Amino acid sequence: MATTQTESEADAATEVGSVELEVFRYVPEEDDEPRFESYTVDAEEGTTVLDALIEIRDTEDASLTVRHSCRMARCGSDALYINGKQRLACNTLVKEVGEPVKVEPLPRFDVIRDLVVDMEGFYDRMEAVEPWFQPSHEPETGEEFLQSPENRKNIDTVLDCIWCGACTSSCSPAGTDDRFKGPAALAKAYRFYKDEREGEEARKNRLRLLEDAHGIYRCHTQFNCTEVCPKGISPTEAIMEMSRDATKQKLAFWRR
Amino acid sequence: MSKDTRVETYSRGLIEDPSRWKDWMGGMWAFYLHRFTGLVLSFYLVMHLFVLSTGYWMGHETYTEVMQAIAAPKVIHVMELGLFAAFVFHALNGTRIVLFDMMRGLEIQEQLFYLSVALSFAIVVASAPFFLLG
Amino acid sequence: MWLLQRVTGVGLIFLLGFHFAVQHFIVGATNVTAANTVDRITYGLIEGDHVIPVTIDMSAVMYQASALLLLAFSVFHGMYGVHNIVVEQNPGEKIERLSRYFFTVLSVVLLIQGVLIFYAFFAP
Repeated sequence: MATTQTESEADAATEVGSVELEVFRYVPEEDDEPRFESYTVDAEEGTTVLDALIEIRDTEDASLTVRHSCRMARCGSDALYINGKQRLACNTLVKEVGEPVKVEPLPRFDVIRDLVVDMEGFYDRMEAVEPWFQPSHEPETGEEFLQSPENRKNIDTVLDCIWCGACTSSCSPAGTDDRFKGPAALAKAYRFYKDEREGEEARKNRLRLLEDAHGIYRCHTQFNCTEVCPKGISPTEAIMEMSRDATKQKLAFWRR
Repeated sequence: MSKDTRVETYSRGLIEDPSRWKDWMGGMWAFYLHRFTGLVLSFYLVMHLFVLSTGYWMGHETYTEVMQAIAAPKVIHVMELGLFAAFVFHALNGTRIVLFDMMRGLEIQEQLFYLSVALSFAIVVASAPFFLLG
Repeated sequence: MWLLQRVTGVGLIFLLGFHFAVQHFIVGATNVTAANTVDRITYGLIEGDHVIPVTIDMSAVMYQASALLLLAFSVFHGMYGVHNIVVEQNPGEKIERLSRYFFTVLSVVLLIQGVLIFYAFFAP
């Protein structure tokens, strides 16, 4: 951040110049309609959108509300709709998105204030897929229940999910259909679905949980979720694999 | 989406809003084109069977008259070409979707979409004479 | 159902492609009469006076099968597809059930209508 940098660091950073931001402002208790406020901040080569927003809050308008925590794309607090795409503000450089930088809260989420949205519905969806470990058996007393490295490889990418909500915000079926769990929750389900320590019975249960009329088959392979995921996860791929397996399982059932 | 009623919230609306079309990515276009052409084809199917059923209810002479009358105006030929275009795109993009179901081509989905659009366009242009001159 | 939608979809590429080819490339939309429709349905695709000359005869049974399969596949694929759009709006159990009834009845009506049309032009 420009204000806290030392002289030498400031010299080393390449000056990009002043950058214009259009920020969504809305306080439900006070305003009738949301509005866009224009701000100009000095940006450097490495200034992120979050840096710029914090700069605005610190120097121009202390009432600007934005949720953030770790500032390094680990906590998933600051997923925003920046220039027409769901991105993490802390992981998006000002210079890479083009001017003016239009910052809005996540679409399809309800706005609590300014850029802060209500994540409650999203967490409900995550919880609906039972995102906890359900082992088929307990290991011998005192033994650690290890997953084989080969098995772990399957879930390397989906494990990176930080619950930021960017994918679910970008997904059309998740937007129109509350009962469709959305890409994040389904990728989370996939993480446990692929875990061999859960056993065959739990796998079948997990698929059963997902394959009703509002389940995995609602995915329309829009790939919006895959495009916007800041961690490079492809929920589409996970959903496709599970729906294929679910169909196979049904066919096997008929053959019997 | 929320059950939390402590604070008043404001619904942002949908990103499907047509005014946001510039922000749509390839897969989004594929989805909407697929849906739109699907609806067009389904609607046509219902009307088509309705029109053809004159052959059963009103006899063969009426059927011939109706078919000739419908095929006469030039604008109908253009619409038929449009219908053909809808079918070709729906078929090619449908193939793309089936590929995904078989876990193929997930990484090149956007290129596959452009390919299906380009191929549809080529096929439609190539067959246009049959519709417009025939 | 999901799998059926895929299977009918792939089938329709060929069936509907063939249907378009026959009606627009071979016969020509302006040349459709009851008489040549009867010919096609009863005797199959035979050599004759077409926009594009047909060099290979298609047996009557094959042509009839393609017509009826096209009917069944397109009605299912189309009606199930539209029903899915309704379901996806999450309109609630009641409307979902109504939609299922509506499209089932509509499908049956369309199938009957299609078979009647087939019957009307089938004159061995």
